[in-house]
Parts: sequence; C-alpha cells; structure tokens
Amino acid sequence: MGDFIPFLFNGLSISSILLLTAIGLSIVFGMMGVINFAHGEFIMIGCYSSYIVSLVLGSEGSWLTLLLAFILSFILSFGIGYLIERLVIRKLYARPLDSILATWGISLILQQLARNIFGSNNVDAPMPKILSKGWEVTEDITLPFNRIFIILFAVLVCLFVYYFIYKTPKGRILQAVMQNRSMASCIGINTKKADAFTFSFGCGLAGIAGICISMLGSVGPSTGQNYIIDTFLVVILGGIGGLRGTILGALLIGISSPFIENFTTSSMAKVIILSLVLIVLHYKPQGLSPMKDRTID
Amino acid sequence: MNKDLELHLKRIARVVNPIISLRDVEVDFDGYKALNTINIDFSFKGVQFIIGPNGAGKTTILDAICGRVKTSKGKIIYKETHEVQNKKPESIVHLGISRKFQNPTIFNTQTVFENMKLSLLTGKRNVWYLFNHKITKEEEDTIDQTLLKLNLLEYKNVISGSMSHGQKQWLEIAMSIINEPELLLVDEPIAGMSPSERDRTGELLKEIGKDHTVLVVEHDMKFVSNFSTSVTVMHEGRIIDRGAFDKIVNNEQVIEIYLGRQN
Amino acid sequence: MKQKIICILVLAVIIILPVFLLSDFRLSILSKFVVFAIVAISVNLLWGYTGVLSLGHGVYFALGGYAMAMYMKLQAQPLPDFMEWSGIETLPWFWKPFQSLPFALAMTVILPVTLALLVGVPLFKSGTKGVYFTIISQAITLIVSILFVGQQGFTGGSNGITGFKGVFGYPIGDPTLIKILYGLAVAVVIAIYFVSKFMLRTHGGVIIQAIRDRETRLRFLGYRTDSFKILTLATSAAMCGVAGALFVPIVGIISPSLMSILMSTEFVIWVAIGGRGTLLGPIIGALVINYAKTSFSESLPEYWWYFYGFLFIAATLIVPKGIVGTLKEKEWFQNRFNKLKTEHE
Repeated sequence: MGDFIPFLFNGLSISSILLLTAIGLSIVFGMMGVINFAHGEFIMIGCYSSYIVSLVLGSEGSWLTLLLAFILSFILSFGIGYLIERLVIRKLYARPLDSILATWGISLILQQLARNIFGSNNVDAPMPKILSKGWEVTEDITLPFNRIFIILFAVLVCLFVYYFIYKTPKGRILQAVMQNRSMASCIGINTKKADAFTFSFGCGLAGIAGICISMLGSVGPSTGQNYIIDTFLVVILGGIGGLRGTILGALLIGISSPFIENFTTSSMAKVIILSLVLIVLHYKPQGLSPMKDRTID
Repeated sequence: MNKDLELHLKRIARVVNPIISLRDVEVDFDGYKALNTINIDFSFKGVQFIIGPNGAGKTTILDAICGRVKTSKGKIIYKETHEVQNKKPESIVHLGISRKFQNPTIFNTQTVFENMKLSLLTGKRNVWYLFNHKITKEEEDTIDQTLLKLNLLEYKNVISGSMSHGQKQWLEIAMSIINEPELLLVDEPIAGMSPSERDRTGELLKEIGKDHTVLVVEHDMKFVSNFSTSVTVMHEGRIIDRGAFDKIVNNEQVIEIYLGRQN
Repeated sequence: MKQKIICILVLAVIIILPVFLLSDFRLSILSKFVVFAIVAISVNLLWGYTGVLSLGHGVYFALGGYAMAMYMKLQAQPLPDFMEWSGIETLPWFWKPFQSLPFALAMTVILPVTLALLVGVPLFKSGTKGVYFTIISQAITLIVSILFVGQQGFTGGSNGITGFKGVFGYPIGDPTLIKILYGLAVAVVIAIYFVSKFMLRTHGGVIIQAIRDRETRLRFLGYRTDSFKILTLATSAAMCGVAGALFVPIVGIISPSLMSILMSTEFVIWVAIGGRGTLLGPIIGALVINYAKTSFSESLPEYWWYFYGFLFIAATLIVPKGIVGTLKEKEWFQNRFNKLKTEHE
C-alpha cells in the first residue's frame, strides 16, 4: 500500500500534464478536423513566456510572476495562433493531410525562431518558492507541491473548458459552426471568426500547458517536440469528439505509465505503452469514446 | 398505436419467400433512433419504392442493408439464409446486393470505361488476379452493352467528372447494375434530371425490376406512381403502410403525415 | 520516335557527366541524393497514388540500412566494437546469419516488408485511415527508434553502426567504389521508376488511385480495399529497404537518426515539392531539395530551417501539385508532351 500511493500520484501527475497538453489539441482536432502539428511549439511558447517574465521581473519566483506568466503565455500563443490561422490554416480546412504538412512546417519555423531568440540551450523558469517544496505524507513519501499544483490546475482548466464550450453562448456558437458549418452561416454566425477563435483558443490552452511544463524542469526549443506524439495518442485513444474521451485517454496513459516503468526501463515502458495504445486502437479505431455521426467519410 | 393498425402492419410486413427481411431492426445515432424496431420483408422482383418525409429513415434502411450504418438491434436476413447486419460492405456486395448513392459517387478523374471496369471486376477475386487482370473481349462487350442501355456508349472514353449531373447519375446506375445484382438499392435516382431523363431512368428501373429486386427511395410522387410495383411509407423511423400506390395514397395517416403537407 | 531517342541520349549524358565532372566527395553526395530519390518514389506510391500518408517511412529505410550495415560490420570485425563496450562477448544469434551477403541482402527487403505487414494488416483491417494512420505511423517509428537507441549492445545505440572496412573488395572511400555505387544507385532508381510505372498501368494501378479518390465507393463495389493498401504499403516498404541498403555503403554509417520523425517527414516534403501523384515528381523533388539543403548548410545553415519550414507551407498552399504537377498544367508544356506522345504512338 505504501508503494501504491506514490505510483498513483505519479500517474495522476503525468495524466494531468498529458491532459493539459492534449486539451487544446483535442478541441482543434475534434471540432475543426485540423491536425495541428505545431501544437508542441505553442507549448514551447508557453514555456518561454514564463522565462520572459523572469527576465523582466528577476529570477525570484513568486505567485505574481506565475500569474503574469500564465497571462502572457495565453496572450502570446493565442495571438500567434490567430496569426497562423489567418495566414495558413484557414485555407486548409477540407484537407487534413495537407494541414499536417503545413503545421509541421510552422513548427520547424517556430523552433528555429526560438533557437535564434533564446539560444539552443535549455533555460530555467522560476516558480514560487513554496511549490519547490513538498508535502511529507509519511517519512518515505513526499508529494511535491508543484505536481499537486499541476493536478489541481488541470482539473480547473477542464472545468473551465467544459463550462465555456457547453454552457456559454459563445461556446454554443462554436459548437454550432463545427457541427454544421453552412447552417450556422445561414443563421447569421460569422463562421470564419469562429474558426479563427477556436484555433487560437486551442493554441492558448497549449501555452498554459507550457507554463506547467516549465515548472517541472528546464525547457528548450525542442520541448514541444517531446510532448507532441504522446499528446496525439491521448487524443486518438480517447476518441475525437469531446472532452470526455481526452480525459479518459490522458488518465489511462498517465496512470499506467509509472506502473509499467516499475518493472522495466523508462524507454521500454514507453514502447510498451505505445504498443498498448495501438492494440486498443486496433479494436476501437474510433477511440474509446467516439462521437457517433451519421456521415461516414 | 391502436390494435387494428398494429395487426394491419403485421399482416403487410410479411411476404412469402422474401429476398430481404428486416427483423426488429434498430439504428441508433447517439440516442436518436433513425430506425425504430423495423419489421418488414421485401419480396423478389419488382420496383419497390420507399417514401416518407425527410428524416423518416428511408436512406437509413438502404444504409443498414448494404452495411453503411451499424444496426444496434435486430437482424437483416438476405434470401432467408444470410444475416447481413453489420457485415463489411464488400462482403455484402459479393452476395449480390448493389447500391447507388444519392449524389453521383463515381471516380471523377477516371474515364467512363475505367469506372465501368472497376465495377465489373468486383473484388470477389483475389488481389493478384485483380492486379494483373487484362480485360477480355467478353468483358468489354458487357461494359458496352450496359453503357448502351444508359445512352453512355459514346462517352466511353470521356473523363467521367466532365459529364453532366444526369449522365453521372446514369453512369452510377450502370456501375451498380453491370454485375446483375439480385437486389439493387437506389437512393433518389432522378434528382437533378430533366423530365425525359427521368422517364428513361424509370423505364430502366422497371426493366431491371422484371428479373431483379429494386428498392428505390424517392420523393417525386409522379415518378413513384408511374413506376412502382409497391410502395412502403415511413415516418420517424417506423413503417406506416405498404401497398400499391393507389392504396397508400388513400390511407388517412399517410395523407396526414406526408401527402397532407403538399396541400 | 526520333525525339524519343534524343531524349534518352540527353538523359544518359546527364547521368554519366557527373562521374567525370564531380570530385569523389561530390559524386558520393550525389549518389546519396539518388538513393533518396528511390525513397521519394516509394513514399509517392503510397501517398501520391494510394492516398495513404505515412510520416514514419524512415523506419523502413533504416531497417534496410541496418541489415546491410550488420553484414558490412561483421566483415570489418568478427565481434563489433560496440558489443565489446557493452560487455557482450559472443555474437548474438540474430547477428550470426548476417555474415552471409545473400542473407543480408534478402533481409534488406524482408525486414521492412515484415514490419509493414505487422503495421498494415491490423491497422488497415480495422479500418484505420486518413490522419489516424499518419499519426500512428509516426508513433510506430518512434517505438522502433526508442528500441534501437535503448539496445546499445545489439544495435550500436544512438551512434548506430559505422566503421566499415569496405564492400565489393574495395575499401570505403575508394574512387572506383564511389563510381560503382553511383552507377548502382542510378540503375536501381531507374528500375524502381519502371516498376512503379508498370504497377500503375495495371488494373491494380487503377484500383489504388480509386482508393485515393473514393475509397468508400470502391468498398461498395465489392473491393477489399484494405488488401490493396496493405500491398502498396509493403511494396513501398520494400523499395525503402533497398534504398536503405544502398545508403549504407555510400554514406558509411546507419544510425537511428535516419528513422527519426524529422527524417521521415523530410521524405514526404520531397514528394510534395516534386509533385505527388506524378512519376517523375518525387525524383526531381528529392534531388532539388537535397541539393538546396546541402548548399544552404554550407553557406547559411541558420536560415535553412526557415526555408525548410516555408517549403512545407508552400507545398500545401502555393504549389499543391508540386513542380511536375504544375508544369504539366502549363499549356506549352502540355503541347510538347502531347506531341511527344503522338509521335511515340
């Protein structure tokens, strides 16, 4: 039992990171059908936002710098996302395979930009002092506060996104556009605006996830790349079409990871988890919690 | 639903020696029942129409038979021996069930001849056979004859995407009938056709219906009255009535839910 | 007919000239590009003609390469040095057969094809398509590359396998060997070009293009489209494996970086820029982009990545049909082309 708690905690911690990184992707992928391979770079933008804040306000972390970092990361990634949607993505809505290529190109450009601006070495972003400590549950078990913070934050973000998409008028408009574009346009919704907003919103969420990742260690131009495939797997394992699937996918992959790592190396664990996901997808190609739809293609 | 009507429906649902039978079939689109406990047999031969207002489940019946949608309950039995519900579409095709979709779905970048060739050599054969197959004189004759039936012979080497909407419809009909399927499922065949094209299509369906079974979903009442051997009326995922056209147009309920709207 | 002969002659001169004009170093780089052209053809067969985009083709390429590298390594050292470093004292059983050249050559095709079947059969049978296949193909490549990096003692880890003595009796870097390998690469690319051309002319070629355009319709005509997709994936993997096997003696190293996702995506951009769904496009794309990359990395390495990223966007927004596809649409080109064709007939 004593061993079980740290495993579960680790699992929840990994799940919450996966969930934070996947949620924006899931919205863009699920609602717009656009595959954003630059999603990882928006996470990277988030990471660097907290670094920028520390450059301006000094490297001493506090709750204020954290708050500012969150705000900056959302604004930056939302803004850049908006720009990219206007320039590139909006021309590719009916061409999912092409959107993969174009966003891959964008991701390469953003990585090189980061290398030119911040250098290719990793940088550290500060966080509030208290978060680097931990909660000593027993003598052997200490749960780091930063991980607890991330878990709580992930729950908060989920609730916010759920509320926003399903309960507010603006969210309903987005849903309407994604479900029936031409009908939405007929009743006077500006679908182009809705597209741009959805994409940028997804990017903004990635930026926020970036802050959380920067709390766990140093970050660099390729930080986003380390997360992108896992993130995609979470989304397709869960099934396209809603928050429910993404949460399910993140929890499954996240919680099983530390248990598998327990009896093998971490690289083998990764191989095993990826293979398990593929096996599940073989039996459920639409993911675990797909949205039923009448159209087949 | 009152008792009499229920009995009436039970009586009309069954036929002797059906080509395809639906038993308690249900199709569920995330809580919305597109087909609600459907029980019906379709007899061999003839042009049998399915009509009903939008959202009645007409197309869904065709989709369920040819494996395009999954049924959540019930059985679909072909020729009293094969259960085809939730089978892969390609294996259903191999049993002799062919489908024409609502909008012309043809291979736009290929010629009419290549479209026909693709349909003629259905994937019943193994992959190697199909890869190496050179078309024989006999096979080419079959293609020519089918094209001739549909006035398309002179377009044989035209890229199919460049033809008119009506011609594309015909090409798809030609593709669906080239292998002489026993059951032909046709979804709104005359949409976008001129009056003369409509008549020709109707005559053709009638011709096919002499030896084979044709199930047609159609809105155009004039077309239905001209070419139907029997008509099934649907509403909100259920069967309302079935019979000859003259009979069903006098059914109060049918008038109310369907024809009544035209007044 | 006369024009056709002239065409062939000009092409032959273009192929032979580099042997005399370029330094050994440059010629060997050119051979590498030609090998990449083979990869591009194989990616195009799957993506341009069948409509299945794989972003993990690096793994098939690398498997072919590793099979060749294992043979060449054993020729140089009975027990590879990286095994000694990892404390492995006897040759593992699966390395032993690679002492034989025919076995190794067979494996350059068998290994990638086996993986392609392992990937393709379950995925295509369960109906995975479009972007799902693309993402999963990446994940699979990631799995294999993690495995290869992790098993240092058996695969040489992230350094890969290098330090070969030579091949065909010539030491690596020998001018004659470089010329032989160039000739071999050109011969293989021509052969594979004609194999694809033949494949596309058969009824099977019509079928795979129909899968690309309207797979669902084809299934409702009774085709088991998954079998055809599996077959194309396997063929494509085999071509990639052959390319990988040629790559090793030319470049002198194989490492997991060749099966990285970055590399696999690069394959796709050659096809996209050259012209997907055209036979010549991928060859031209691979040559042009690799030439650009080499020149860039010699003069402006910083800016290569911007240009490279831009290429992806350009390939989707500005020239979606690629160089060859766009040229084909131009009128003057079409007239020329038709003239050639009628004369040929």
